Amino acid sequence: MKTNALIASPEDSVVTLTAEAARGGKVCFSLDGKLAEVIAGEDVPVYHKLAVKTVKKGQPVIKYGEVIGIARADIQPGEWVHTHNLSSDGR
Amino acid sequence: MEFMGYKRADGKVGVRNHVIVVPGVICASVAAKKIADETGAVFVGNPNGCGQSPEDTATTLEIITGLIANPNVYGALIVGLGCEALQEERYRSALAKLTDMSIDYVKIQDRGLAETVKRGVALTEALLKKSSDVKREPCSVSELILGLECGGSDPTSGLCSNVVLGKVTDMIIDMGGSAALTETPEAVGAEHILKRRGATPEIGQKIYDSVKAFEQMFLDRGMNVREGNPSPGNIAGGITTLEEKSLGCIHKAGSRPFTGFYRYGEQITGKGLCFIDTTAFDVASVTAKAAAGSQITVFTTGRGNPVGNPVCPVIKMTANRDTAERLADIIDFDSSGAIAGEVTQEQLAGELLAYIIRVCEGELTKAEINGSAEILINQQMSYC
Repeated sequence: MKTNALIASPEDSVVTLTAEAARGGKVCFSLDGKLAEVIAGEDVPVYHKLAVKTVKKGQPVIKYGEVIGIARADIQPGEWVHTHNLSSDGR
Repeated sequence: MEFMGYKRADGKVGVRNHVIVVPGVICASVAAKKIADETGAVFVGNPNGCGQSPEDTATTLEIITGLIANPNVYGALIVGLGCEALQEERYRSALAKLTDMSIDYVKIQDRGLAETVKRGVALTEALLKKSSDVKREPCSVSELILGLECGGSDPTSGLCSNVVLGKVTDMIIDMGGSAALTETPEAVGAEHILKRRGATPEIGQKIYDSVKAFEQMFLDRGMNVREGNPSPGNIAGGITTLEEKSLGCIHKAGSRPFTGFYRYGEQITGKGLCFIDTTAFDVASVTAKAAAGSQITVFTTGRGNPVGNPVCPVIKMTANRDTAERLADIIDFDSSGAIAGEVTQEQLAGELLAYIIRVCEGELTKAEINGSAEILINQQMSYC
């Protein structure tokens, strides 16, 4: 199956979509040479982030293997991750 | 690796052979523009030249004289007004420390606008005639200082364009050349990584401290740099936080150690990868790199941006296919194939290096064709 998302680093909690995802659709990405997938919980625009791991409210969200901010709500795999549930650590 | 460039008397190498006309103060812009238009010389804007604090005046002087001394410039005419803070002698003494180039100077209050333009046209035409005697000759890539810029970023910038550009940065450094990372606020959230990459602990610490100081400057005034950055366009594209943007940004700098740290307005004097402490506003940052001696900049973008620089070619690169297609008249290099899995990032890096060399040898960028040539100089205080 063709991938429609990229993971920047194996430990990341999010992937970046390379095609828009529809609610209920499969999001596939290559992880450590194997194909991994998660079901999109909602419609997500292209190049936006989709969670592949559970992140509890107050915990760091990881991309590029680094902290990109703090979850402001509990985030489940398949959820769109953006300004509504993620903000900078310094705000 | 060699390319056909312009060897200057001081040993530096240019990729263009511009004759430029620069207002010594913004008030003289009308005359400088007319002279440039009439002769075909390059107009280099100066937004200041007067009405600034002593510190900001010194920065303007450093940036304007740095642009004039850029190895892409053969010769320059400065057009003054007469009463401004930055008088002819200040330009001449600052330039004497940077270049052997002969500089012409005229000012409006001596003879009126029409006569100033007439005199300026004659001087510029003489410079242009002399400049045409200079021919390209084989030059080493080790003389290049590659400027690294990103603007109007989206997540494709951090995942692809900046990674490809970082591979080219490594190639140029490994060939003995140089590259400059700038945009201090866009290292917020990535400063710990840059700190580790200092060739010495002191260089790493200086980069780290400059990022912390930039953030603190905003906090001291009750503001947060993380609130205006990412921009609305970055957010619409899918970037959520400044840390996310920064972690993508720094990929442009590849993987080699930082051998230099420079303050805003300073000339790059060493080889290898360096960091210049600049604002993240693209035009001010590209201006600072050109003024520091960089001959060419690669500017990655996700959303698209037409800005250029009058002295240095600015290559636009995107990994967002929609942007590459929709904004084809401002994008030079499409790296979206690596996102789509059609080519590898390594293949694209080889193609990008080859394209950079072609631009260094005279192929025009879209920004040059479009006439994008913006100049902006950072200042700390209000105009006085």
